[in-house]
Amino acid sequence: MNQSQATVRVFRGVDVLTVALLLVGIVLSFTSPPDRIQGDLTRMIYLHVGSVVAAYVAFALTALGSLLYVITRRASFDRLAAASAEVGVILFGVVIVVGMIWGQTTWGSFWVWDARLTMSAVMFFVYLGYLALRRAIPNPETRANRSAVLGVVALAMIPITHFSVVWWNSLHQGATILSPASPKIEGEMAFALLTVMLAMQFLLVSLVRRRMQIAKLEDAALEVAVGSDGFVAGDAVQIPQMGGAS
Amino acid sequence: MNGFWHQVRTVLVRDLRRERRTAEVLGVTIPFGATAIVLIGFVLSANSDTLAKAGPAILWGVIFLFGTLVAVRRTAAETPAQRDMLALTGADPGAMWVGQAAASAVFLIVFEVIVGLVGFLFLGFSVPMWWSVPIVVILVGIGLAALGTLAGWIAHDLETGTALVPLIVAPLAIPLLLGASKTLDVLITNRGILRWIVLMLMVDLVVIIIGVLAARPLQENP
Repeated sequence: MNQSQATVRVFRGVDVLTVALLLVGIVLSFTSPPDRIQGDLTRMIYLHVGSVVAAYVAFALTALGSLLYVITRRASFDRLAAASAEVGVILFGVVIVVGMIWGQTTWGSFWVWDARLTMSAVMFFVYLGYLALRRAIPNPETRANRSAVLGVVALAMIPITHFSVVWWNSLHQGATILSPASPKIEGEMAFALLTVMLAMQFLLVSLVRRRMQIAKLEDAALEVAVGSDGFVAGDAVQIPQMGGAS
Repeated sequence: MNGFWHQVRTVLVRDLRRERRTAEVLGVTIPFGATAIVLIGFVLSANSDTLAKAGPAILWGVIFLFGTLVAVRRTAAETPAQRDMLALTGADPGAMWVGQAAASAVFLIVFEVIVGLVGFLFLGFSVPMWWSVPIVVILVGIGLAALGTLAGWIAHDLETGTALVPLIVAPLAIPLLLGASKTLDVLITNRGILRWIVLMLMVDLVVIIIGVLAARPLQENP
């Protein structure tokens, strides 16, 4: 079995594990006990927190891919950065939508000008800007080079967003599992939450890998298209020759 | 190192000369920002107490949105031919970046002072600890200039660059905006400002370091 076949098997295993963990996570999130105050509404925490952690990891992968691209100039790292940013934006969109629904049911408003909410929206826009930049540059090398710089800068938003709850007075709940004191969550709920968080990490890996494969195929198709129909600009220019061009 | 700073000074002086000839910031952007302050105050039609309370927020909002225009002004953009020529002369891309950012910082600080005075006069808020205002103004000016210059380099020559740069700069400038508005809040309420100053200083340093490091790859792979 060569390395490529082994990689395919590993990722097939990851896909199977992703589906299994997601199914277990869904079952656990509906069978875990309801919250004493919020009742069944608290079940939104599983999707909300699971998605946000996966989105943070995705954005960290974007920065890592960008940094590695700057160092090595390998296109695969640029594909990693782009794929993880796309998946991260989708996951973060889920976080914002679920959070807004939860906010409406608990705070009585879809949106409040709260530090965590505002910073989350801002982070979402940072990565939308990153994707807009990628779309604006047709040349693959230029695109990879310029978006790599933005990918690294954008990483700075993650700690600011996460710690905004600590730095500023916020309606949003503070750290639950990673609380500096003991965890503020009941054992069965914590188990369900950790399972969903793990499932979302596996989902992230699967989605990023699939998107990277598509990007690789897109790059190959572009190369074929340029190779067959394109022309080299230098073709129009002839090398000066002694005695004039023949 | 002397060569580096000499190049920085050359680019800075060049950008200052360009501004003297075109008056893009002093003649257009600053009056535009001042008009925005007056217009917002007029549209709100609030009483003086409400305006005084909302004043710092309005002021910083205008400074950040219009400040982005200063940072990405047309006269700061170099044509591909100019870039190529500078590269062929062996100019250090990091020095060029620092020089451009320094020029933008100078314009932004002037912009903040003038628009701040307009805000102070028209919105009527008071700041008891005046001594610390220059620190905030300088840190915001440097940070916004560094971010704008970096975004300008990332998006140069792109068809959608004009819309793209503000989309990149505005969200990334939020930590600066928060630091600046919180500092002004605590100045008004006479509480400690150190952690907000440190936040802005950190943002400035991070963006400057990334800008200097990214300048060469951005120039060499246009």
